[in-house]
Amino acid sequence: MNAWTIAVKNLRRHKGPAIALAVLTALGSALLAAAWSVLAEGSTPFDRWKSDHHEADVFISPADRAATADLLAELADDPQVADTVALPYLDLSGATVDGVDTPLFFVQLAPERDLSPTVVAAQDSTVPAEKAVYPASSLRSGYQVGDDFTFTFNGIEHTFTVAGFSQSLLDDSYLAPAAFRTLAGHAAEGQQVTVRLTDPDQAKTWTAAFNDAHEADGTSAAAYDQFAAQAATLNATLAGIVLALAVILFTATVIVVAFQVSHRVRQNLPLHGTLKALGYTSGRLRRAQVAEYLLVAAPAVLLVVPGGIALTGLIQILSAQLLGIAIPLRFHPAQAALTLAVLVGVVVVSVWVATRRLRRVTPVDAIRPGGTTRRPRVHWFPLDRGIGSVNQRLAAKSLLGHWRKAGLVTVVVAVQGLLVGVAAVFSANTVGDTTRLFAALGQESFDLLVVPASGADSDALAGELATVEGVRQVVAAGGLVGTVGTTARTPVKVYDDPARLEFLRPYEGRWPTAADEVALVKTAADSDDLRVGDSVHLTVAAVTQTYEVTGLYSSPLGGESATLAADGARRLDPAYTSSFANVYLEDGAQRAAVKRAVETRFGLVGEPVATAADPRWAAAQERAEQLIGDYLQIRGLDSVEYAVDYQGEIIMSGTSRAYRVAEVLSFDVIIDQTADAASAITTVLIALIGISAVVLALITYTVIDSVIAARRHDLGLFKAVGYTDARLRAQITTQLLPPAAVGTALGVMVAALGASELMGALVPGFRMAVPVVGLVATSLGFLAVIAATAWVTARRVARIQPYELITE
Amino acid sequence: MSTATATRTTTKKPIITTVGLTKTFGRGETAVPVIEAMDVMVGDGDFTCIMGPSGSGKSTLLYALSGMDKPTGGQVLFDGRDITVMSSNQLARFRAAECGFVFQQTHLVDSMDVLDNVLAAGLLTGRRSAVVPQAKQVLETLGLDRTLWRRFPGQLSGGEAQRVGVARAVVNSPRVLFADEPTGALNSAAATGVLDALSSLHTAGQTVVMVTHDAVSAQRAQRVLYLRDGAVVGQLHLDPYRGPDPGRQQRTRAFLQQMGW
Repeated sequence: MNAWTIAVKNLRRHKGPAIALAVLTALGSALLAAAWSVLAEGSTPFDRWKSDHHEADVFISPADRAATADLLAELADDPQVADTVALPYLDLSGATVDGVDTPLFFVQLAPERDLSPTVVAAQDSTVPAEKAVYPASSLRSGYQVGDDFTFTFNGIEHTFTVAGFSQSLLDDSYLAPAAFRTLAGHAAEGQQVTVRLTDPDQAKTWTAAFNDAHEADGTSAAAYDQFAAQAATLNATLAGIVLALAVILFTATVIVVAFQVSHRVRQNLPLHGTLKALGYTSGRLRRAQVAEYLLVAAPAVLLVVPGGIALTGLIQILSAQLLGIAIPLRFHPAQAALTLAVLVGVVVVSVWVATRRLRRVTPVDAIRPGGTTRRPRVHWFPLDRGIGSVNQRLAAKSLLGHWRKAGLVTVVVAVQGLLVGVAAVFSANTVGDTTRLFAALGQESFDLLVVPASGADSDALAGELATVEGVRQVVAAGGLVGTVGTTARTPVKVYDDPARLEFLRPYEGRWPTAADEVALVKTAADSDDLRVGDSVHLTVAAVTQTYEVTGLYSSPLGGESATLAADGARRLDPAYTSSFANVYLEDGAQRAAVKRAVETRFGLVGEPVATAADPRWAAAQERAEQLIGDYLQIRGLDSVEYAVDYQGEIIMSGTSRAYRVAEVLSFDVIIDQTADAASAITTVLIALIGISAVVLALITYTVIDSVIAARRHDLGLFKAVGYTDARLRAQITTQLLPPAAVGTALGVMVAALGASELMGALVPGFRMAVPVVGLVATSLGFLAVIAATAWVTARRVARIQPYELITE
Repeated sequence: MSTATATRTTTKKPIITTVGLTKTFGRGETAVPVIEAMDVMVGDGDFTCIMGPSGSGKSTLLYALSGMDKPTGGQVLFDGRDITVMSSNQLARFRAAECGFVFQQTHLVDSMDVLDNVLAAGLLTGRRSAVVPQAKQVLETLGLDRTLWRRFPGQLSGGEAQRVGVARAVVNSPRVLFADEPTGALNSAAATGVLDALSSLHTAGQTVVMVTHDAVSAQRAQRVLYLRDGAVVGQLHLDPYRGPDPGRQQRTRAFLQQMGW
């Protein structure tokens, strides 16, 4: 018989393991191919998207509407600008859809222009223009063209008809011009200017220069590339995770194959001895083993292309869910073929190595039972003394006698435990409390920001806010605008009592408490090479004072350069008073619930008293814009949506109830985005846990099968002298638990420590909490998988008949 | 004397009785009957030897009597209990409590030392505090002193290894000791040592059932059953073994020659 004939005969006898191996090979190759395809694409899909959908190169947010005309004139004179479009937008960040807070941002559609900022998909021209809405991709779920799109804003319900869907990468929704006009009186309106450059590759450079030139007036630009880069990074992250899964499967395949081949060679020594006695060479027998694996891998060839296409599609779907748009990704069959060839090649080499024992097999092995097999002699765990039952001690002896197999289990479980442990630690710390993460990132953050009505007493408000359930601490705050050292004019945060921030620590030093102390944002400190203990000048208007630097921190929200205590602020502006309150919530408190509680207690939700038709509207709008302008100076944000009234005072007007808004500032959008990303990562991590369990089960099955085969003679003998099947199964299962427990403990412990160190390296000062319960549960889960698989696999001891062994 | 009568004749109270014992290997057209409707009795305290040519069913009968193998038909009554209806686990417990086995190839566990090989069987039914001293005493009785207890099977001579097998078989004080060609793989000196061990045990009251094709081994028995083609065709009764006896040897040889051995 040639090697292939022998291989086919062997395969017929081992159908189950062959199928498992074929699946492993195909899955590992498909995952590798999918990940490789995505990584190889890089940012190309996004460039294609941008080209296909005529997205702009740069988006500009003018400081106010009045500046738009000047801006357009400026851009018209810029030789690098090919075209500009100015579109009004409405910011409805306090809107609710079906009772759920759903920030809405509507841009007026300009389809009559060739330079449309977006391509609107599936347009329905039968929808009346005054009703036509094109929801953003993130809102698309559950709607079809022709459906009503209803939302509530400031207590007024608005209904439009879905005429198509926006595919803007910025997740903007669009309204037909007529529809836009019907909504315009109900929300703050701004202008968005989109720019296409003559050389799109210069977008980043042009944007940086534009922002430098407009630093003082608050107009800011953003290059499309930053979104594409973020999307490309996200895609690469997803692909990287898939790659990690592929590597795990790849490694598992190699280990399982090598293990099975090695154990089968040992198990069939008499057969191989007989074949050698008949004249078969070692080479032919080894080639038969290789041929057997190649026959197993053959179906993988058929599976790898559809599998790779499906997995690439899955990455595309995940990416779309996170980005809100579908980025086309292509699967490359040539790369799939290459990865399969690499995987099969590596496994073939490992099979060849695993069969080297065949060189030592002699015809004598055919006639001497057990052949040249040597089992190690184990004096440890003698049966005449020590603790434990005879079964446990026999299990311990077997464990030491098969220490290589035990070591394999320990290593595999440790690696799985490490991967899953890191995943569990990261997801527990990022999904659970993103505010804490931001607090650690910036050491200056808050859960809610409450702006009192005009004339309201901020200190009294802070005191009352502290009584709201879920509120841990309220610190009255405000701000100035000035220069810090050599920085340009920037906001300076002021806390009335920084000592209340004992639960937030700058990553170096402390918050200022005295009138001559200041804490600096790290970037501001670095620009002047300032450290804790140094002196720095702060200037507000024409007043300059000197302060001692007591701490360094960073702000994830951007904008400010320093933090002062109230007394320190009054050295620069004697009229300084706090103008809002930072609210910090208890661990586990729901931000949305506390927000509603504050709104309910301190102001009415919804029910505007007046609309744009009301003659008092203009005055109310002017007051709102004044407040927004002040706040912009303090926080450096693009916009602020709402403020709360207090003690019956309404924000817009001291005496009239012209326009009542009742919302509390929060940064849910940023935190929710982080939570969304973390949720997506968690989904992938759960898949990682699932695959880890499968790998563990496979390895356990292989090891137990090998142990039973190696101990077949001993097990038959034990049966002959009276050991029951259950006792032997327990013995075999028990011997695997100690190495599994050691491996799990090692992997999870290293994960807990390593993840903390890794996060600390990425985010200075971040103290990562170790989810002990989660890690213990993961460890116990792994042990349960191993024990269950071992117990089930050990059923085959029932097939061992003592009579057959004795008469062999 | 009919075969049926001959096989039932024993001076001792029967501990094992078979009724219509049948064992067939294979199925359908390839079925091969090895034992057919055999009625056999083993007396309590007897040393019974089963002999016959190859393929006569000696080992098959031995393993059917001990519950190691399930017969195709008939009954095996061990102390009144029908062991043919027991489940696999029940048979395992039965073997642990009532039977001891000595195999031709010793079948010791290579990776365990002498004492552990004996205790692995002994601790199935007894506590360590009782079984360990018992095991040590049995080993010493069989001429295996403590210097050998921590050696592994590969470090023993054939005779020593077989005596360890005997110790393993009797450590639990089984009702019946089954031995399948215990001297088959040994030289004459080692074989004599093992046979002396079996004889001592029998003298002390142990019931022994031994399969052998060796006439010298057969002389140790009180009763020799000769099988041919799956049936008992002859039976020889001897006095209890007291030592080498030319008359005993002559009688045994004459019987075997009569049986066509």
